Amino acid sequence: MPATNHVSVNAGDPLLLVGTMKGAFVLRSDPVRKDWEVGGPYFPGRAIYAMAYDARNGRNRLWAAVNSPHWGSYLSTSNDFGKTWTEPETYGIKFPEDVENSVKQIWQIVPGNSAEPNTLYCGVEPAALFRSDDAGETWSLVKGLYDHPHRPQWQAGGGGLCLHTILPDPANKDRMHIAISTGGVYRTDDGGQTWEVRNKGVRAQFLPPEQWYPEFGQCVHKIVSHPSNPKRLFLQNHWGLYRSDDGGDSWQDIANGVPSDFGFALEIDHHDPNTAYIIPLESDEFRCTPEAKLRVYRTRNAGESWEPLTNGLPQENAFETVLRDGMAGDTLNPMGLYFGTRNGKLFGTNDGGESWSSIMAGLPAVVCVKTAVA
Amino acid sequence: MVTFNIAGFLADFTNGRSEIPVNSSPLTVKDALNELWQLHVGLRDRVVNEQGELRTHVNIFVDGENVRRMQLLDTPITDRAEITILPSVSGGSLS
Repeated sequence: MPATNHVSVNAGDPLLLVGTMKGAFVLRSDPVRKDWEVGGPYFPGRAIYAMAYDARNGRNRLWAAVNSPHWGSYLSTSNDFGKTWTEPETYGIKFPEDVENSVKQIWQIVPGNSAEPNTLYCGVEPAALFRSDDAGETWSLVKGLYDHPHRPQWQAGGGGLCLHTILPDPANKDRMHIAISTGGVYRTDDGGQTWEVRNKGVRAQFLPPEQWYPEFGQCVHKIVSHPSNPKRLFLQNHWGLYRSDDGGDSWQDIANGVPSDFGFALEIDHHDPNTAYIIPLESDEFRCTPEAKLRVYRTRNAGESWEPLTNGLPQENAFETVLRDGMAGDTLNPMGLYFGTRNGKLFGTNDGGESWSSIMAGLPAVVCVKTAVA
Repeated sequence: MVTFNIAGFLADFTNGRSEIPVNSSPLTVKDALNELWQLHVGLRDRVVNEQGELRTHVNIFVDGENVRRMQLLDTPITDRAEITILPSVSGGSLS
């Protein structure tokens, strides 16, 4: 096994949690966010599709979803920023015995609303949502979603039938959006007991044209919401780029001037609900950056127009792919933004995207980038 | 007496033991596994899923024969069977 490095973290340090197809890494910096120390690899050989940081109730807890092709998928935690990780004897995320299903992969772990500081959510393949109300000690299936009458008609996309995005509403503990590929966006307003589709205006281009706007079944790749204005959402679709101003009740096409509206990665500026970032890919057939140029596109007017950000990013022979959880912004101001590619490159900006620098190269394929401030 | 052979990663969940005798007389692989889980519960979720099915990329051999070519976990065993649990040749990743 490779030698493992650790980082020493002080309160206030920005952190990057990087999940790859062959292990996890924890990076720390200072508020300037120019130089990064690297901890890891943790879980060498395992695919880490989801990571999270839970700082509520005095915790300093990292979470990692560990996926082994042999031994299944489980959650591990670290209370010392990666120096040690739990290896639970029994797995916490499991379908109950009366449900004839089994977890193939954990795709997402997210702390819940701050009003419920011991609540966490976990999204899995096949598409289902799990909830913990004891800080992750025990988990239970959210039956209100699992028993949804649409579920038998959800279909697997290229990554499997996965519940990949969970957005607890910071202003309303009973409201949450989730996204499923291929099912679309669903919202609960009663703490998960009932769920309603929120796909109005989002197309499903893989269907015959007269069926492009079904009630559900869209292949939504990622949604993000604004922390202080949670009715503002952006959506990167399997073909299609959208904005909602009404909590997902309706969506407007905002693919104005982007080289492609196909892609995965999406982030909103935590300080400005009109600013968002995407990394377009050429097409579903050729999932690489258009023209072999690695460009982040930014809108500052809620999608009326987009501009390419290229300073410091390779503009030749850059056949890169950034996946749905491959880009994330931090909570500092100006927001730092970071993304990792399937070719194992990790880039970041500390000035809103005006300039970019390489943080790491030579990583295994990056499938998850999350941020935290210790 | 049925004996399990455990190797590699799974030995982390058997206190490092590679040979684990089961003193009862299980009739099938499934029965023997249930005895094994009683001794080392950490093996269970890694070898079978929550439906009790053998994980896709784990193989179990009874006296050298892969249970996938027999009756999977319903494969009958003798009271002197040697059962070996191994990861399959697959694994790693395409990425």
